[in-house]
Amino acid sequence: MIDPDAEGARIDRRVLAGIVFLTLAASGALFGLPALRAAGLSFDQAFWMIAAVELFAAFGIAVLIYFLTGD
Amino acid sequence: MLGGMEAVIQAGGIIGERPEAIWLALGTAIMLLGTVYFVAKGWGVKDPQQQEYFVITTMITGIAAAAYLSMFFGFGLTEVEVAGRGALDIYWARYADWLFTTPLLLLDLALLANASRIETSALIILDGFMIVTGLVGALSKQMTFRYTWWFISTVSMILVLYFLYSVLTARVQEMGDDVKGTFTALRNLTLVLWSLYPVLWIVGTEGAGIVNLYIETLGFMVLDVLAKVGFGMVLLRSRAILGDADAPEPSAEPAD
Repeated sequence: MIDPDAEGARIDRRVLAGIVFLTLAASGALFGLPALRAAGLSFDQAFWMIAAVELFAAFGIAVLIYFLTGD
Repeated sequence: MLGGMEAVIQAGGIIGERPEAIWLALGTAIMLLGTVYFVAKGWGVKDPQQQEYFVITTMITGIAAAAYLSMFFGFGLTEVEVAGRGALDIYWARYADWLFTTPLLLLDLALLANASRIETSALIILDGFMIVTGLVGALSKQMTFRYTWWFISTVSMILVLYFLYSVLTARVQEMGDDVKGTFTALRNLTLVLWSLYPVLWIVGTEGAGIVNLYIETLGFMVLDVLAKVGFGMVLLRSRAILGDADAPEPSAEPAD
């Protein structure tokens, strides 16, 4: 059972909210390709735009975990 | 009713064009079921620490469901012209899925092991490097480059798994039997399943092409379901998370 008094790796509520938000944004971006193509972008442009969103979201999650995980 | 029929006909059309899409549809359904199950199981949880595990684990299957659905519809699919091999179908959304789900799986393990901020961050950065180099390999147009990136990604994976086996395992040795048992079970599950991914990649269409896309997609779907839904089932039903009163089954005995 988790010991509520134990010290160690705990994550802040804001981290959890941030992770949820970035994960949802990344999930949504997975479906963005047809819309970007319809807006006139080539496949490569649309792909790299989505890849940038995914990488930004992943980086954001890593940063949140680093700065807000308590020791 | 008519809309439902149209959806079935459209899905049938997708599977007719891309037979491997049947496994992507099945993967979507299982990940969705897993997500719904974890949400239902964690709905009334009040303890903030338990909530963390439920939220993280639910997101793992949630984003996997989204990635599988995008691959089923063909949004997460591209073609890469590879010298000597012609056009290869690459499901790039698989890498986007792994870019989020694998760090979250490691975060669950790090939280369970009471890992420090530095240890957790090191593990997650290494994991991100592993996935990004895997994606670079998948998008490379020369087989030599593809194999080189696969090798770099696989070495990163070995380091991640070694980190789990050494640093995090040492951490749980000082903890109670429930946590130790659950961590050991999840660590072993991760060691075995993650080791199979580079093997499937290298024999699959993105590598040597020994296995066709249909079998490869089935293989990745089975691995993903076990590594995410299976992982969540073990974690969120364990005494380490729920305590004696709520856990339906005894946690695995610690065994190294």
